[in-house]
Amino acid sequence: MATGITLVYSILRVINFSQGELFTLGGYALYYFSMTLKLPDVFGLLFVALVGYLCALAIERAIIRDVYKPALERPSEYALMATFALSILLQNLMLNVFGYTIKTPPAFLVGGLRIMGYTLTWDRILAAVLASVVYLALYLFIKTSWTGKIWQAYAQNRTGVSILGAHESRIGMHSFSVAGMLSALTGALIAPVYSVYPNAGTLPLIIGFVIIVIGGLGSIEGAFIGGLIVGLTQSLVTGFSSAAYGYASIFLIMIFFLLIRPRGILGEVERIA
Amino acid sequence: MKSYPDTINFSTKSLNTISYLYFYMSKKTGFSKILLAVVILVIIVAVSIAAGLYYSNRSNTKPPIVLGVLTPLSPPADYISGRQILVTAQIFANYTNSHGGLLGRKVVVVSQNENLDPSQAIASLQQMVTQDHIVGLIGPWESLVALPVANATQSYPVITFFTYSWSDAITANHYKYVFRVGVFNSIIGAQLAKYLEWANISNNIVILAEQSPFGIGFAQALNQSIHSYNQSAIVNTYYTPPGITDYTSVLLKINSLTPTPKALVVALNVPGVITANKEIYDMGLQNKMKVVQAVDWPTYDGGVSWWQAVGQAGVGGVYASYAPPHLKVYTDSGQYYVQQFEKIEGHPPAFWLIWYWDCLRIWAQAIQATGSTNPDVLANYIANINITASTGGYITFINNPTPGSPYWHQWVGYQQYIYQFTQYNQSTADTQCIYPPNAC
Repeated sequence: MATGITLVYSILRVINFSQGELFTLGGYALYYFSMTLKLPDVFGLLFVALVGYLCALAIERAIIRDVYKPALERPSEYALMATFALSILLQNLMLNVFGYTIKTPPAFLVGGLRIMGYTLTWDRILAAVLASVVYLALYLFIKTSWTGKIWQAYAQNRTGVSILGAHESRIGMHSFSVAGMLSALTGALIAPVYSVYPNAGTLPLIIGFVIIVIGGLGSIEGAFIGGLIVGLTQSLVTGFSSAAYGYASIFLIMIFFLLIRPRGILGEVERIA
Repeated sequence: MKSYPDTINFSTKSLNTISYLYFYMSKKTGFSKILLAVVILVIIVAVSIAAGLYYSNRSNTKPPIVLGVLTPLSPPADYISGRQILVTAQIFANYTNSHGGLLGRKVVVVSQNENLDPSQAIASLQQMVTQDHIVGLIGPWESLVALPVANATQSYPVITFFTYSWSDAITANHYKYVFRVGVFNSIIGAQLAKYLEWANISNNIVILAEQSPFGIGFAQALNQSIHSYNQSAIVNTYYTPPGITDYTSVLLKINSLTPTPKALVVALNVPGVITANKEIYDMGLQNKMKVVQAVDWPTYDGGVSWWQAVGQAGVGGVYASYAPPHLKVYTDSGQYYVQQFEKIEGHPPAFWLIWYWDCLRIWAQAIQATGSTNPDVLANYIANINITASTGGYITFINNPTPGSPYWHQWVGYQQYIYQFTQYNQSTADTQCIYPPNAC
């Protein structure tokens, strides 16, 4: 989720509040795929990836593409408000379409690993492993592929890349859709663990923002490190005190970073040419 | 510019309009003149008919009696319950109107979304009382919102009913217009403690509770009740913020408690209760301690969410409920309600919804009997009412004036039962009642 948010921000300079709803949509897509088609789960994940990509594509074409228009004043604020409104719309739309009962897709793998008196379910392990694989794949794609290099160049200097002939609109379209696909896949991996309901994406979205602030806005490596910091902090603080302090602690860390190092751990200082 | 006799402004303006039209039409050709004249004539006739209908309607119909529903209708609140409450109110309005309404007036339902936000709820209450002129209110759900709304009825008087908002303070604060046809933390804790004592698992328990007026109040009440049986009982309580999804860290702590607790009592609200139970059962905690649901959330959708969340491991799971083992509905209107609800929702209403139905019956009876919609008059009547309960017995209110006593405008004609899932995918209609043994 955090990787998706930071990808969109780094390339488009847009904060996408509807990322949480794409996360939820991924969970619902997996649920209905599993319950109706009863095919192997790998097809379910492919289906979710396709749904996430297409939905994000639709959002980008309908709302975000106006951000590229030079005539649009304050494009970032426009995108922020528009995606925030879209987030509320999608939540309530999902409530009406999918109903109000909480749904839990069948587990990918039944059972778990017994560690020191605690059972770590295979679904959690699978979610962690697959998330890492997807993250690595995205990282390699961005660092080594031609498209990834164009995305990096665009993130650094839009005007320069446009002059060289890269199609601004297509860069935005594909990067936004890939970010949506990532969120949907996250939602699908998490759904068998935490269930899915219309506002399931709200808390992960907020924590995603915390992660990218800590890790660095626009840095994919930073999103990974930020995620580790947030996860470990929350777990340890909850373990030693209470769940309320666990959540409070990650926001305290975010405030600390905003005050001391606003660009985050691996974020870059913005250079204006 | 011509000047006209300035008898009244309206005449002057209309004469100006006519002269303008004349000037305009004189510039048109023959056909377009006729067309324009026809269009103007049609507009005048249509407006006259509409005005006539409007005014004649107004003079013939009495104003409706407005029932307010202020309930959670969207996430992150418990919109599942909120929606069912709204459906209940709508069925009641339709039923009442088909029987002539109240005092010859139609019953109309207006609803607002409290959305788990106390300030929004109070603002909605203000609007509903001052602008919609509601005569009764149902629906505020979680105690986090229900309590401020109950308090706000002092400023915005309206007869308000609660059924399944558990905080003692809702009635313990002795609000004039607030009535509870339902349970509260002290009584729930006391009754659950009896079960735990009977099951011989009360000497070492852990409570996982929501950090809200409901959860904190329940945990404290249960703690107190258990220690009234057994001073040396070990009771560990862990609070979690409402709305979180990851209970792993807290459950790890519970898992590592020594000596191992004999029971884990879960006092959370939807949707957290479902994810928490999923994690409890995934972790295998049910093999170490008895998992007891303090809230009968599995009954919300007949058990579907329960089985999807916990799977086969959920066999043997227990929950507390106030629905009698063979829930019968003893009133004609109650039976009508159950039928209609099942048609709309696809499953019968939970018992606390039938309590809401009884609240509305009480409200309607008060209006009919007193011939009034004044909240003071209605409150005095309702405080002394005696009405057949749809779930059996009678509804009367205890009005203990002792400050701080929750037995104020409070009904206590219910019994807690403990149910157990005995088969995988079992509907909550078929679960086995295990306590109290003589009543099951």
